[in-house]
Amino acid sequence: MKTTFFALLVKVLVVSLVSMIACSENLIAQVVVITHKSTAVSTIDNDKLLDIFTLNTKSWNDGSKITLLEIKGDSPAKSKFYTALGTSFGEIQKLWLKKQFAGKGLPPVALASEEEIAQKVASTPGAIAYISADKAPKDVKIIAKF
Amino acid sequence: MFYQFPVPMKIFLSFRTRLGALLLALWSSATLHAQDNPLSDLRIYGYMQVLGYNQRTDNVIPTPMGTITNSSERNTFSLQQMNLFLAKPLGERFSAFVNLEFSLSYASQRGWGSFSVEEAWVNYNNSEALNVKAGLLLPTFNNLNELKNRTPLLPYLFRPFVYETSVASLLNAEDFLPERSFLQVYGSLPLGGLRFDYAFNTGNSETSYMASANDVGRPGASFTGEDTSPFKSVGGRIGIRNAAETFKVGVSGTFDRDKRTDTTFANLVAPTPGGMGRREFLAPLGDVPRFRVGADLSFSLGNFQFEGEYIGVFHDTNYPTNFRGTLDKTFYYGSLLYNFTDALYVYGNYNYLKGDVINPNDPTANGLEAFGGGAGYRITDGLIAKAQYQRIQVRNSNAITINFIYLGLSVIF
Repeated sequence: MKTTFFALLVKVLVVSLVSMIACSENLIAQVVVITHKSTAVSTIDNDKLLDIFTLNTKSWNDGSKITLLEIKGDSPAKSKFYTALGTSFGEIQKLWLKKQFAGKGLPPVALASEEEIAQKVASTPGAIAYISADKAPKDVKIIAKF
Repeated sequence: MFYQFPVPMKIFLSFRTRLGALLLALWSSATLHAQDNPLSDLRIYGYMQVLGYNQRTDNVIPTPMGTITNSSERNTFSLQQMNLFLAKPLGERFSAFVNLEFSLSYASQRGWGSFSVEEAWVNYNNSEALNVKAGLLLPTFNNLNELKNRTPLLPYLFRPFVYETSVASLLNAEDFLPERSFLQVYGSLPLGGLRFDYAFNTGNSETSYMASANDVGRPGASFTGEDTSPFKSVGGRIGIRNAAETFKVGVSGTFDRDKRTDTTFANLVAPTPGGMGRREFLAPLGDVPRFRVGADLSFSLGNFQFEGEYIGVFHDTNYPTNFRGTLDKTFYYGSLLYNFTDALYVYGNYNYLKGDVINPNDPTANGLEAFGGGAGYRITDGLIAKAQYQRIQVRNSNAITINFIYLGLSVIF
């Protein structure tokens, strides 16, 4: 009886711990794609995002210019975002280099922090970037969540 | 009493002062201009590849008195290539791009290597579906033609034969590839979850039709670099890829003329080994219509990456009745790469080239093949260390065998 109760207790504890970790991971690492409030887009799908982040698409549907922003260095948001798009940052970097060397586009401007990115998106019409959900300010438009 | 500078010193000081003032004025002007005009952001960037290699060549020469073999070996270092890019947006829709290339430790006063303006064009971007590029440009043909000289993007140090700049003196790459165009219309259209790419281009005839300072008499040419023929080249590529370019397939084609009117070397037999280069026929064949056909495929599967290309060159001509050779040519290559991590990879590759054939019984008529492999390590984002082994030989023959071991660095700046 004692053994059964102990086993049950251990199971409950393990399940709770795993759920807590999963929940906290989800909260910490949730990534949102933000754009300037004036951008005429309310949601965006993965294909379109991939087109933008691979520099295939350089303008919004209304013809306005897309300004792409990136985070410097490694970050959990970066890893989660590119994995959600079915690729990796390394692969995207190679594509940027390829386009840059062919004169077909320049890699996005990389800023040091997500706070800087949020500010830049809020102040730049046509800007788009991804940041951690908890860093998203109110003066930008959220168009996708991962 | 004041010290009097000698007159030349006065002139020097005056000149130096004026030069300083001029530079200061130019700098101030450029700075002010840059501040005033956000579109004046000229970007300068580039890359270089330095390498050292060991080359061992073995020749087997049959003679009436028996077979003679000889070998030679050498080690050398070289700045294989350096490219400098200048890119500048010209408003919302236009951009300009210049690509300057220095190869083989370029030093004009020593007669080493070469310098060339590889690209200088302006691009009009109407939409993703429609772009127009005008100026000196690398025409889109197969997958590698536009990227052949972007060495940091390539896993290897020594490129497949027709794409290797350093063998330009041995191999006339233009016999296989269109190397220059002046106008290209291109774009990309959504096709389900994929993209359909197209590119059509036109330009001058092949290089041998161009007037050069080395020519002795070129009727009708006013300047060097001028196309002296009535012919032009046309070509292009259509293909399908996904956005991340982990899958890409396409077919390419060109039409132009192959200049076979020169009889200067009519009696020269096999000027280059292994059927690598152009050989002059015993009789001039005229301005021969030439079709180049290409196909390319590249894809990633897990950590593997495959890349392959085929080029066939076909001529529409009537050969002399006693001639059994051909101007037609073939090239293909394949490369399989495995990424251990984002930074470390290994690969193996094979490529085959068959140039002009004068005598089908000559063993070199079988063409040249190269196979080998290598590895690379990305030390930082802008620095890649590469190693490669390659064996070049005449297919189905032991006449010539060349073994290379290369070590090199690709540097992006």
